Amino acid sequence: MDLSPSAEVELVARVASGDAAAMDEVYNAYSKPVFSMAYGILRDYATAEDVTQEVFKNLWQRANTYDPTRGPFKHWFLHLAHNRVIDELRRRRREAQRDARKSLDEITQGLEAPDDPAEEAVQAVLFGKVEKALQKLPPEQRKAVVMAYLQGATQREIADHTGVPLGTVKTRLRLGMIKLRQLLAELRREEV
Amino acid sequence: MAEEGAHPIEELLPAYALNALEPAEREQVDAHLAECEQCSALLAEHLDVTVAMAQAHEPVAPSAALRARVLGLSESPGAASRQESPGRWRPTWTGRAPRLMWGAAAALVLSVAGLTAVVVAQQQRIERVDDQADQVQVQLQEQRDAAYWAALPGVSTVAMQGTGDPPRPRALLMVNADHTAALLITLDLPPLPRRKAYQLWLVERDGTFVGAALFSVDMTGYAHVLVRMTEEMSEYEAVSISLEPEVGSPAPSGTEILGVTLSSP
Repeated sequence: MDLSPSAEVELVARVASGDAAAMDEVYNAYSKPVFSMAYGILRDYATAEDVTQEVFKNLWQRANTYDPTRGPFKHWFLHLAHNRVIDELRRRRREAQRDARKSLDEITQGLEAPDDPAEEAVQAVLFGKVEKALQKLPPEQRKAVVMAYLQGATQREIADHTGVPLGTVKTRLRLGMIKLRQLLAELRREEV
Repeated sequence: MAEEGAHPIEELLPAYALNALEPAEREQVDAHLAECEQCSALLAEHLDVTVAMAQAHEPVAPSAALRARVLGLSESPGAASRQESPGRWRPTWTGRAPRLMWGAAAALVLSVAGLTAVVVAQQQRIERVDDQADQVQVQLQEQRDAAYWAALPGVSTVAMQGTGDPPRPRALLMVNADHTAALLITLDLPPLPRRKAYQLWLVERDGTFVGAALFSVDMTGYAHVLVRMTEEMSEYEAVSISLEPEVGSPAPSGTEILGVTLSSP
């Protein structure tokens, strides 16, 4: 379901006021994309459902903090949803780090996949124009973006795990995001 | 409004859009975005990419059971009893976990060490609530935020305590060192009537009330609100929270729920 930005603003205001029908509409529009992202990143159906539930719970609790002047609801909501998915990834890593029986290799699993994690991850879980655009990025930029988006790594963690200076990682991530936006725009124009 | 040309967080925005910042950096960006439309617009461009990636996963449908969980359509007695009134939706997770246990009721200023101890004690209580795991997780994150905020160098703290029969409303305002932002936590504020909101006021020394935040509370009177600051706390003589229309008021028009006079600088 695609709503106009103004219709979404009205819908979110109704959610903030506790309107059950509005919440139902938001769920119909966003449950599948939120769940697909959670499952695509976490690769665990039950956990992805739990995270999706929390995302909508947060919407219920914080819908009144959405400011329409700062951008579309879709941006705000899917960014929050991705943030919650990343929190779950990081929670898993912290659990692994607390478990003294885990080997160092197991602890760092998820940040250090064999070969090229960016290539494998992109091919496995991201499709369409985004996959095409990512494949056109310089490999080092693609790796930084994918480690952040799919593996929940902070810039500092990317630097630690790749051995690349933090400043270089920041530059790669920034340039990668700017280039990705340009590539996605080009791909959309080609499609029209 | 941020000073023109002063955008120290601009280079952090791509990583912010990817949720790839350290907590301190994230706080810095949040504080700046709250007052800078230019950086908010730039962030929206980066979020275009994050949203495109979020929508590029293979479509997978969640179960019908999830819909019931989220929308509270399950037939459990608990879900039915939480229905406040016809047409007023309540989620299935509304039972709140235990709250922060606050220290001395009359204390106006709490030490960082004291707050941290409170958070630790509360986390121990939370661990015993195994049937509210999802809710506890969110609250733990908020408590970590509070502990993190309280541990920032130079943070100053203002506590407010209501009077009358328990549960008495309480609030804690933690202001960061450069007085650009504060974290407000409330407990046991009365449930909001429809079309009403709470408004936080900072009272200038000439008696002018400055609306600092408009917020709602959950069923236990709990709120966790990031507040944008425009002046140093020394510029204010009092802090208060009042009941206002849901769109807010230019000056207090409703009942004052909490208030405290600040000591002179």
